[in-house]
Amino acid sequence: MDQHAELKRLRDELDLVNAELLELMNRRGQIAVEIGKVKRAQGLDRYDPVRERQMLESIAANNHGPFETGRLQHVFKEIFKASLELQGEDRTRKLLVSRKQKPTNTIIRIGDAVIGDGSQQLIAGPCAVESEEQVFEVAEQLAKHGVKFMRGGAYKPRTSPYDFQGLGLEGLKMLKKAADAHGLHVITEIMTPSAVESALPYVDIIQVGARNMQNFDLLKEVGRTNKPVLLKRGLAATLEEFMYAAEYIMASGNDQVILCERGIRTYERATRNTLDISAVPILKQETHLPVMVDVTHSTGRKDLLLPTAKAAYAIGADAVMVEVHPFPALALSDGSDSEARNTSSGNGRCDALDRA
Amino acid sequence: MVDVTHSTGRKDLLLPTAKAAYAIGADAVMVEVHPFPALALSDANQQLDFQEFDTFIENLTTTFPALNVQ
Repeated sequence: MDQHAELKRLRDELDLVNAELLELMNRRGQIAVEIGKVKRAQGLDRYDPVRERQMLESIAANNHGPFETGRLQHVFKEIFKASLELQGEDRTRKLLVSRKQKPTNTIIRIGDAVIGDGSQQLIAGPCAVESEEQVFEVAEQLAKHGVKFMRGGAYKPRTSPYDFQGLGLEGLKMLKKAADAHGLHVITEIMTPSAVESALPYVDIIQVGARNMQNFDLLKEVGRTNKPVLLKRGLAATLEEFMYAAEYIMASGNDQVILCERGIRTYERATRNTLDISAVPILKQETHLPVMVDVTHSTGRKDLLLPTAKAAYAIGADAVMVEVHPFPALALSDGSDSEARNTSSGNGRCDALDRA
Repeated sequence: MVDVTHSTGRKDLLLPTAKAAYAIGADAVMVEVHPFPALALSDANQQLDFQEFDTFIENLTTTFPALNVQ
């Protein structure tokens, strides 16, 4: 037999084997689906590592080559994985925050102000509330630019216990007074579950800070209020952990959650944190919640606020947060990253920026 | 410039990250294109096919009309 004919014969045989494998794979898939149904009915987890190990061991026991056992086990492991996918909706499908659960965007409305409707919002204000004079000055500047949301910390989570810890409830009252005087809405961080109730009358959006992203009691407590919650990503949190943190709030009954990317810890030291800009489109795809970027804390550098804000809007962020202070050099916290009021103009390129 | 293919490794993020790159001031964006990404000998998951590349360019030139793709 000439070699061409031999090659053709072997290839035909291979095609037949492929067809058989295909048949067998799909038969395996059907059985896996049936198993999935039985397990669901019994409330069992579909992934069973012990069973999987038994199957892999049986491959080792029965393998006569020519494939190496390790290679075959790897292939079978892939088949097991594919079968698991067949069996079940992946776990994120069930989450309340998931876009699979709710395809339409969640829109947060506070009075005349809206976040998540496709407009581009700006949230600005001092890092910390220091005095009535300071917050009134900032509020006036924000109102002048048409900004609708004023941030300001009254309870400050500081790295050192000897740093300024915030003015507490008194500070919150000052912030609310200044915001009311200029028609702004207040965003402020609450750090402990016990402070939530007393703060509610003075807050329009409750912020849960990066360091509290997995403070589950706090998440549940703010989840029991009817105020929108701005949840910041933890500085070492994966997006999955971030989404689960938001899930805590939603699972407690509050569906008004805004996700905020604020930079993560990396080896890079040119910026305070590294802005994970692709977190924005990923969170927009996987959840239905508004997503914003805190350019102040993610960079820690004034000279990067404008370019990162442009990038944030360009990539689809619903809002940008920036710190503004009358005299940053004298600020009691974040002195080097509060933007001075004189430099806070210049949103040149993002024309859609909602300052009306 | 910014290489959006290797920084994300995900096709669905190429367009938004390219927009962010231009918006933040990048001089250029690099992206991988392949006639049949599924058959590519490397980086199969992150390369655009021609149809996806068309959409990518269309979307970018809508956002950045001055984009030089000639």
